Amino acid sequence: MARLRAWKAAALAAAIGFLAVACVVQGHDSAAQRLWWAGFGPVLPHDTFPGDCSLCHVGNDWQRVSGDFEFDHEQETGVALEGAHNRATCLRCHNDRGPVAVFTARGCIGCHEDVHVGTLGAECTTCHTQETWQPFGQRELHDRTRFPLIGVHASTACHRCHTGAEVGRFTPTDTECVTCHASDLQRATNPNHVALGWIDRCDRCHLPRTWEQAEIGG
Amino acid sequence: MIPMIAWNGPGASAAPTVQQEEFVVIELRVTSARPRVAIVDRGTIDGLARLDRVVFRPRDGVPYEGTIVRIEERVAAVELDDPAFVPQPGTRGETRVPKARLDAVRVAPPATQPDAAKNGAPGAARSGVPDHPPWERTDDEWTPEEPLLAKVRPLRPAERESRTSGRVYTIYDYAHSSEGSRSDSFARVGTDLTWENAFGNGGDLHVDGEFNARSTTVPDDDDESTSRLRLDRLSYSWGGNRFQPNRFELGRFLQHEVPEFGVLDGFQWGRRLSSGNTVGASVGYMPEPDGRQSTGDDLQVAAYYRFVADESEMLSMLAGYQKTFHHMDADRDLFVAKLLYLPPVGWNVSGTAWIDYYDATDTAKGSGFEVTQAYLSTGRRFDGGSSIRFTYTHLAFPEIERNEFLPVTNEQLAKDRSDRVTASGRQTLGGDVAMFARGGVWSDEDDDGTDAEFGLELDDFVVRGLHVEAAGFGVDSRFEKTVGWRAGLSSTTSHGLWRAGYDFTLNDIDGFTNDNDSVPQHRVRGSWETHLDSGWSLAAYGDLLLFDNEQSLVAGVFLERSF
Repeated sequence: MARLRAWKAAALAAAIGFLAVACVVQGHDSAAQRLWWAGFGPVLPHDTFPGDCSLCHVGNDWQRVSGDFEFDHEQETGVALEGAHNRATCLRCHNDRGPVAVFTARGCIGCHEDVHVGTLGAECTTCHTQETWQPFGQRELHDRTRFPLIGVHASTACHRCHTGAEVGRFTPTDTECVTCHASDLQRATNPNHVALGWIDRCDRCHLPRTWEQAEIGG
Repeated sequence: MIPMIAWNGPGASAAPTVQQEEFVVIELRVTSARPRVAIVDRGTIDGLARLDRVVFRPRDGVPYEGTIVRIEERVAAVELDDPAFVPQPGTRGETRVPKARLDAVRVAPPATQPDAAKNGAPGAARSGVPDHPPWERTDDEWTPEEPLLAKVRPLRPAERESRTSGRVYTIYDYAHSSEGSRSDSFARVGTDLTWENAFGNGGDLHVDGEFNARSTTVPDDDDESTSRLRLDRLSYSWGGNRFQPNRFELGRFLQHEVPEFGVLDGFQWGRRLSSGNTVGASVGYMPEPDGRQSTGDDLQVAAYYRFVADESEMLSMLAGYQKTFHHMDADRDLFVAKLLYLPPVGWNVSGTAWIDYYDATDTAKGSGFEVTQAYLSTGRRFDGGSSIRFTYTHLAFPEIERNEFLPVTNEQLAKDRSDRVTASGRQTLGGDVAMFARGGVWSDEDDDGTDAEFGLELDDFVVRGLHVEAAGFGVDSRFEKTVGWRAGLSSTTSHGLWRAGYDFTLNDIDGFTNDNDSVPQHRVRGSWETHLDSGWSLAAYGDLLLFDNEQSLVAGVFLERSF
């Protein structure tokens, strides 16, 4: 045990030491500005834009675009903007963090936080459209898992089984009935399930379509 | 920059007896146009002259020609041969200019200082220009082919105008089941805001939170009613841009670059090295990953290193380590490994592995390493909309003290697992028809099974804009075998996107041999959503389920304003 405690202390010290060293060295080895993805050019490449700047800019402030500014992203760049992306302001994507080409190449996670902490993969469009974050098609997706939603399970709020659903975490979740129905098991007194030792394999007697009725299995 | 390409015109080579005249191609752009006349952004200073021929090349690929009829120093008016062609502003074009003419207009600049002024002759005083010391600033690296402002100093984040972007939204969901009048209603009001350059030093303030109110009516039990304010993010981040390779974030936030480490109440630092690789570390408490998000029980320290193969970051790999302490006792040793390979064309690969290290105190797992979670996916898209993808997932419960899951027994910790391999593909069949197929194989500690689905998609079915999809499927799942089919249609009109569908499944429950082991289930669903230019989005949806003698209804509305 003493060796274990020492190992834990060493791990903590090493992590804190890493942070300290990181803070000390952070002032050196600066990435020169011209080396910062220099090959991708400025934040908003203008080389394909018309030569008449006043088509988009107001004359006394080049950081502002004129009120009637319109830009056909697909026609000018060959990249169509769909859904909410078409309604976003330019600087939401084209900004100082770096060239947008690098971030779009990573897919959705290049710009959007992965609130599912990596557990659902990078194919966000399986559940989300580009219009809003409202997911769609969850029932169909669930039908392809080892636990399709039948009967009352299909109209049960997600968080009843997936405790992290409200913060975007769905896995791992156990499929054993008692994991979610522990309180139902305690309430089952006619007959008294716990006293009889009926504490698992609920599916031997109960069908998953209702909450209450027991069916006799074969 | 004015692109110029030296070019010997074919006309010269066609007349070998005449002295070959050298031409230069001058590229130009349309700045405005009306029928028959287009204004271009080149003039006499670029060597153009009246009656020069101009070729326009719009994006449709068909060239159009015209003749310069009026010209000034920096603009010219071109009379178009085709009166029906009115080029869009920005349309590219070109004209050929004799090199001799271009050289003639490019006269050398006058001498910087006349001898008289240099010698302090009275001429300088007479002109009223006072004497001054020599200029100290050197010339910029400017060339005559470069626009004057090409190297204008870009604004720093701290110099940008402060502005707020994000969204506010409200959602209401209601579910009702006929059996025992069980119902669940869930109302949410939330926001997700980013305040850029919030305090004038170039950093961003992030606020992301929801107010949730839920009411559940449960048969034979007390009704439940809860309301809760949830704060997913309240943090301030700065740096991490092209001017500042260090990135810092303080507050509550999802860890940058390594979301696998989870939400943190603390501090994270990351640094992009000159190689493009990134190193970072974080320290802080981890809120519980549920609706309550209580914090203070679990401390973590973490570090990561991200490697990128080149500037495009097409290939990147990340390795990270997280040490957690539950109530200050050592808890989890988690290693995360990530791979991302995303070429523009060809197979892409993404994968993440969560690897736990256990020591002698972890009695359920025993000492050693275990991959507790893994995700690996590879696929590619083809021209025309076809695609194929393979995915593997692995899940097991990690042995941790943190209250991350519903109670898990030692037996579950020791043996529970789930592995799944899926394949999916979509093949366009020409025109507006495509077929898709999905299949999967899964295995867990007790059972294994398969699932398969095959369907067709039709665009512009019967009427333009109507999308129809139909599929049949079968699932051998943990507790039942299911076969079914579904059909759906959707259409985008001026009033928004409409969807409607019907599903039928026949579920045969495992372990029952009586007649009551089959559960037919019908489902009807519909939704509508619309989005306005003002930033408002509105959606409504309903889902009716019929099974046995019971039915359940799920309905909801969604309203969002983004800005």
